[in-house]
Amino acid sequence: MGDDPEYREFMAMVDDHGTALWAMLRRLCRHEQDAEDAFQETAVRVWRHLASRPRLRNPRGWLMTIGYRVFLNQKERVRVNEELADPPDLRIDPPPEEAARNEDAGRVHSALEQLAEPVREVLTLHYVGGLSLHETAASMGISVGTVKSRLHAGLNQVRRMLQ
Amino acid sequence: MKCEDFLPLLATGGYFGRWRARWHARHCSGCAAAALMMNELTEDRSLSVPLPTHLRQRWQAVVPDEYHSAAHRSAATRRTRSHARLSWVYAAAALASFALLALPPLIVRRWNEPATAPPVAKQVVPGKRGPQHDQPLPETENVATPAKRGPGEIALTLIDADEQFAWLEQHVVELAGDVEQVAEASQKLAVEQEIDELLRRHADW
Repeated sequence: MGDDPEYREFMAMVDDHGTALWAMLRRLCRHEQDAEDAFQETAVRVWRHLASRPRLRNPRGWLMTIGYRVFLNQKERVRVNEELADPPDLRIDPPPEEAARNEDAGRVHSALEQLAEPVREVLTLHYVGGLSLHETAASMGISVGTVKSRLHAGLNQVRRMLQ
Repeated sequence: MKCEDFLPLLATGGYFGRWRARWHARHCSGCAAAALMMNELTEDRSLSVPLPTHLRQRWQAVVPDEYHSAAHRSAATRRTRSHARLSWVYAAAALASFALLALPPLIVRRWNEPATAPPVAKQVVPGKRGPQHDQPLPETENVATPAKRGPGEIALTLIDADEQFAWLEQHVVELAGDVEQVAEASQKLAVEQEIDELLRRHADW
């Protein structure tokens, strides 16, 4: 099975973009277990459709779009009832500059959490998922102009919250 | 540019817009700090937060069951295709055997039929014509001679294949000899024509 090109492509996808997918799903789901379920469901869908997409021009965008769709489906079924718990930091003594960075990241993420759902999704797909404006629009089924306006509004709110 | 517009311009602005935003950030420490903080969002997907091992295992765990079912599915598809191919083979074989059984009697029957006579022209005498004599000439129509074999009569003729092949071979050899002779003659003729031409050109010699 390891020699199968389809399998190799499947595993290369998680090795190359799995981190981004996981980060995006965590931010979208806001619940660790839901994010893991969405991650696995994404894997199932990717495996199912990989054979029909022999040449992916943008595997990252394709993967993130599937992840976002899984999140949307899951959102219809599951109610978010628990706050997202940050993963435990296994490092004993993080360097001071990293500690400062973690603090900044925490502020940004908490600001992000306070945004309205559509705006938060746009920011998460664009920044955490790394999708371009066009890819974000395609994933969400909205126009690029709407993405821009939501991004504009969301960033202004984040900016105000960070000040 | 206002500080409010900095982050949106950095995110959604074109090349010039992003350049303006970066230029603004050089002179505005607040916006520069905001940009750095927004970069933290993208850090999640970089190497700073590696994918947990158990998630990679979950990703990998999707494969075996799905893979086996996919392999099963493709095997089933192959089986269906091979069945379809087999049915085509059977149909072709049945058609070929029908042709083998049905064609020889037809050929033999045709062989024994008398050669049909060429169509004959039957003159039709024109009737009375009108006062104008600009009518066409007497018409003719083609009528094929009908077969004279009675219904149900079948004549069988045995053909010796070896004899036929020997006859054909002999004729082929004869034809090949003729072709060689013709080729030789044509070469000679060409040479003669060339010599004649040369002699005509240099008649003064």
